[in-house]
Amino acid sequence: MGMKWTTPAKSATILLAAAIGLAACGNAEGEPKSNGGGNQSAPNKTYEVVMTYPAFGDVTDVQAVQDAISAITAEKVGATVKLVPVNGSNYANQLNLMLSGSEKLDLAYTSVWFGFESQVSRGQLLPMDEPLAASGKGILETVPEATAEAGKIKGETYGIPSMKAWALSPSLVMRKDLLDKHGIDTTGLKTWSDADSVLQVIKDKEPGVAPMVSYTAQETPGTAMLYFDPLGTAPGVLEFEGTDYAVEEITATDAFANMAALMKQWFDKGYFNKDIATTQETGSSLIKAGKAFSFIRNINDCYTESVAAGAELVCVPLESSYMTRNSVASNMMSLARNSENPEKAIQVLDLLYTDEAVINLFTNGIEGKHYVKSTDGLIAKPEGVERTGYDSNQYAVGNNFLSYVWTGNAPDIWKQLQALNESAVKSRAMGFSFDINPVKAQIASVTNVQNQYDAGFQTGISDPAELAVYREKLKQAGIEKIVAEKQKQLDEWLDTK
Amino acid sequence: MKSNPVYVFAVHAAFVAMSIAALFPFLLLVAASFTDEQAIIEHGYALIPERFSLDAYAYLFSNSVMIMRSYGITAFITVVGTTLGLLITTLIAYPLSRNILPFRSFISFFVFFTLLFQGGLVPFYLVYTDLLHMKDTIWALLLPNLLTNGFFILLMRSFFSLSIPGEVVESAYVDGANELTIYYRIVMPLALPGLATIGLMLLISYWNDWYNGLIFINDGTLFSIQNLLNRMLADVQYLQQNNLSGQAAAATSVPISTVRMAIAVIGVLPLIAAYPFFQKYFVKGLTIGAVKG
Repeated sequence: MGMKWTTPAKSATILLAAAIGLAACGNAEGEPKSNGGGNQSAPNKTYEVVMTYPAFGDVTDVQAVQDAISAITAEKVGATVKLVPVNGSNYANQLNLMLSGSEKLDLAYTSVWFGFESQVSRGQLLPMDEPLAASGKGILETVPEATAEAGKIKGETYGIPSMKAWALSPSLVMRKDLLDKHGIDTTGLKTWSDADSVLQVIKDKEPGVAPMVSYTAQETPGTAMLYFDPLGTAPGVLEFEGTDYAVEEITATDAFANMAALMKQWFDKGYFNKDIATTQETGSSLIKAGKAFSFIRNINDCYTESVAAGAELVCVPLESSYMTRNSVASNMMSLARNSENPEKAIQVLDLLYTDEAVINLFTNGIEGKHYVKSTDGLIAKPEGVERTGYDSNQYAVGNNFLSYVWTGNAPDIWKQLQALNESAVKSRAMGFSFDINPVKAQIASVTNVQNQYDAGFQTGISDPAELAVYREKLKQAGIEKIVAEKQKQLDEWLDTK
Repeated sequence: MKSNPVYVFAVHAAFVAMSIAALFPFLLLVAASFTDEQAIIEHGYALIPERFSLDAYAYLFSNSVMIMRSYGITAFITVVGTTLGLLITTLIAYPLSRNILPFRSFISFFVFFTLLFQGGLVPFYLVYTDLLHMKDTIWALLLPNLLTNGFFILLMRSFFSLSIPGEVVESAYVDGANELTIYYRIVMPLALPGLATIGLMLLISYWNDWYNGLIFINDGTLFSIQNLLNRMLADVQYLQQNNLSGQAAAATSVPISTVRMAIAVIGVLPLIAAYPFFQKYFVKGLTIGAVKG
């Protein structure tokens, strides 16, 4: 009975706990991990560039792809890569965690939708202008100067946009089979209200088919009709055309009132289902089920919409295509604070923008294993293989215009999209980023009000007469302060330009 | 006491109603997982499938190697985690129940404190990745959050002090047993009902855990079953809503509503299969405690 519950016994328990912890450390470092690649212990001292990005779909074969890319990068720039794909739905969260510690990370996918501005203001991303000038010539030549602006904050580059379709076209998207069946001619469609005649035909002749549905709960029919430059994600918008830089409150514009009136009219005529503001069914799946005829959306290209809906669609653009900071800076690559060798990181990134072999390995995988090339130059999954182990990860990273085109697309799809990018109306404030910090509280309460009212007006459930009530609520929530702050910051930005 | 037939009927009816209320959603879920996707979109859910289909399971098991490995990972962490958790919980709770332990109230408070205050996500993540380097190791599935928690410790402490008479422990001393022998030979067998309760809770939380996997694990070979199913679902949903061209065609042919149901069935099936055996033991443990009390 020498040892009662005294300190030794107690420390034994603590020791046990500590032992478990230590064992964990030992394991992590001692055991050669499969995805270690050539790290610091390797004798040849090649730098390993760690890159994280969101991946959707199956990426079990990422190790093989990583090895293949490393073989090229080791030879060309003397660095290997380690790919860290993160499940897309968790990416924003995971990125913030990875950036806050001392975890090794060189290149990180960033996006205005995933907190790019606040990551910069917390100092988690490194300025890129200097390393880009030194070792990113290919990137600077590839990314058009006007769009590279979107990755800048206060004149300094913190993110490089991926090369993809940046232009969005607000369009009326309709089922081709029903258009043909009723002999509807779409050439006369010039404005949103013209759609009325088409929708009425469907309403009369196709019972059980909703003439129009929301694309998603966020993308209601009215959303795409609001043709403004959103200047970031907070309230306060700018006209695409014009010379003055007046920030407007969107609900105060004629466009919003007209939209609300048109939506109300369409809702009353029965073009929408009664649950349009609340349903969680997507427009594509409703079309696929034969329950819907059309939706309105800002689209990249019509083919992708058709694929999603499993039916041939006709897309009629009813406003000019446009390009804003949001549409460009939604997919970027940034230098993480913990990078030990920004120069090598940029050199690797440079290859993703200039080297056809590297970008194709990254987006499509290994030829013969993850895809096969047909005689016309297009690629497809190997015959009879459902799961290749590496699903194509397009758009997010690098120069997609160098990647091979999947079968089913037009062979010159990249040329078309590039042309659309060039012809699109460009935001006049591409390089302007709104610092939300001074009006954070107002933004939170305004967002609450918007969540309550916006969908109502954009689906015609709310009477446009109630717009005054909505505007009053927004005023109480402090929207004027946000708009004034945005105007102030925009003016300051204009002065530095 | 002779039971009134009306009363018996009423009680039975109430319990039957409650059982149906509990069973119905589950049966609907199972039925939906075997229904054709198109039938669900057109006609909604039904107990008897409109059109029978195994598409959802075919989709999930097109990746069967991965699913089987994930089952293995989950089984491993559940067994090891529950055992370790029980060991550690009782090793803290038992001493705390003995009034000869020095600094008893301080340690109790220390345990209690963790119930009220937590570090938050970022510090939590940093400790396990930067300090303990557990990222992408099996330890990240075992240790964070789940191993034990203050509530279980306090529960076990009360259980020990209420249901194990001090006299039993003292008589063991008199017979010459040391502390470890007492803990192992006397206290643990007496505490079976408590162990069963906490063991079950630990088991379920390990089985159902996907969060640790979500933030600490990127290596596909270490995905637990819940984590894997969760990821598959999220990916399919994402691809369906945001078309990344090219392969979108493949993704949109996935029967998403039924896959969701099939995932739930797959996730819960082993637990349901194991539950009757466990429950038998669990109820026995409880009744032993009841008679003793």
